[in-house]
Amino acid sequence: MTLTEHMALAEHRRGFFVNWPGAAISAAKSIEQYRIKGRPTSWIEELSGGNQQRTLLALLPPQLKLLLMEHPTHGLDVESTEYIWRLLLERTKPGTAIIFLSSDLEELLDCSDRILVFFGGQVSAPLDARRVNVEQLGELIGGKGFTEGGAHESRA
Amino acid sequence: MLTAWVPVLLCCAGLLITFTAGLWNIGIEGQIIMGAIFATGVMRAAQNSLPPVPMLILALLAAVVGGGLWALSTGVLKLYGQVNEIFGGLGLNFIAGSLTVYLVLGPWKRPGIGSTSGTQPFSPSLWLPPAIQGVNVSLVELLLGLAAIILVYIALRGTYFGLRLKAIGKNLRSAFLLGVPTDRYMLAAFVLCGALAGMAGWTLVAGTSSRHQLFPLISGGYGFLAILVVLLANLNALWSIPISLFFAAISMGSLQLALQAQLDSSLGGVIQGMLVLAVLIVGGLRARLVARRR
Repeated sequence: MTLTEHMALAEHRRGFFVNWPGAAISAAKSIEQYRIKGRPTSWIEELSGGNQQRTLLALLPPQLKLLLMEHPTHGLDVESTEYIWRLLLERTKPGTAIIFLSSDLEELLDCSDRILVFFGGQVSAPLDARRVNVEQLGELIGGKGFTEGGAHESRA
Repeated sequence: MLTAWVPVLLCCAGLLITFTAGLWNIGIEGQIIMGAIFATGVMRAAQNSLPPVPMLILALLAAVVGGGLWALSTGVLKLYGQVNEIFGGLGLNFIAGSLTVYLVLGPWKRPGIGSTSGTQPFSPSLWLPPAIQGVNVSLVELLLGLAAIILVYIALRGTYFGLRLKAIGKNLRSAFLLGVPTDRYMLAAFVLCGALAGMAGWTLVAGTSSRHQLFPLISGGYGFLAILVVLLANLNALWSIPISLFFAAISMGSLQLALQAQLDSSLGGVIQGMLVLAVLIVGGLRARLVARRR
C-alpha cells in the first residue's frame, strides 16, 4: 500500500468515502515532518528500513498515554536512529510515557530516565539512567547483584 | 455468450471483495448453488400466491440470503474453526452439490418422474423477458451484473471499507494494529461475495436463457471461471468486465466446437486456463526481476 493509503487508514475517524486529496496532503506533510525519503504515492515496502520506521512514527496517533516499543531502532543507521529518538522524545513532552526494550546499552542510557534489568526470572529495582554507566549495566545483565531466588540489590 | 456473462460478472464482483481481503473464496460454486436453491425454494413455495414481479424480487432476496449464509459458513469455519477457506469452501461446494441432488430426487422431484434432470420448470410468467428480441438475456440481469461490478469498483477504490479490506489482504496483523476490526471485515467480505454469488444463482434459475428449474451442477463452473477472470484482471474491477465477456464467449463458443469443427469442447477450458497461467507466470517472473534489481 502507498504512503497516502496508510495515512488515510490511520487518520480515519468517520465517514464512508476516503478523502484522497486530504490523505495525500497528510502524507506530504508527514514526509516533510519526518524526513521520509519517498513520495505520497510511494509503496511502503519499497522504502528503506529507516524510512519505514519513520513512516510508522508518522502513523502513530498524536496524543498517546503510553508507547510500548521493542528494539525501536534495530537495524537502522546512526542518522536514522538519532532522528527517530529525537522524534520519540518530543512525544514525551506533552506527557506520553515510553517503555522500550533494547539490547543496545548506549541507547538505554542515552534515551531513558529509568532502566529495569531482567535476569533469570527476576527484575532489578528501577535504575536512574543518569547514575548508572555501561559497565554497571553490563554487570547487571550478567547477573551480578541478583541473589539466587531473591530480589536485586539496588546500588543506583 | 451473454447467458454466461451475467453470472460470471456477478461472481467476479463478489470475488474481487474476498480476494482483495486475501481470502481465496473457492467455495463460490457452492454459494451460487445455495442461491439457486433458496430462489427455487421461495418460487416453489409461493408461485401460486404472489404476482410474478414481487415473486422474482422475493426469490432474488432469498438467493442473496442463501449465498450469503453459505459464504458466512466458510468465514466462520476459517475464523473460529481454523479451517482454511480453500478447504472449507471446497467441502461446502460438495455439500451444496449433494443437497441439490437430494432435493431434485427427493422433496422437490417432479410428479411421477424420478430423474436428476431437474425440478418442475417454473411457469413462463416467472421467466425474465429478453432485453430485446433475439437476445438471450434480460435487461434486469444485465443491469444487475453491471451495477454489481461498478459498485464493487467504487467500494474498493473510494471507500474506507475497500481500503480496510486491502489492508487486511496485504498484511492482516498490521491492519489489526492500525485499528481495523479484521474478523468483522473478513466475515463481511465473505457474506458480500456469497450474496453476489447467490444473485448469480438466481439468474441461473430465473434468467431469460436459464432452464427455469433447479438441477444438479446448476453452477456450471461459472464461479471457477470468475476466479480465472479476476486473477487475469489482477483484481481490477473494470478490467473484469471485458475479460469476463471474453471468457464467457469462449465458454459458450466452445460448446459449438464439437459440432462445427470436430474439436473437443473442453478446448475452451484449456485456452482459458493457459491464458491465466501465462499471465500469472509472467507476473511472477516480473516480480522476481524487480526484487532482484533492488
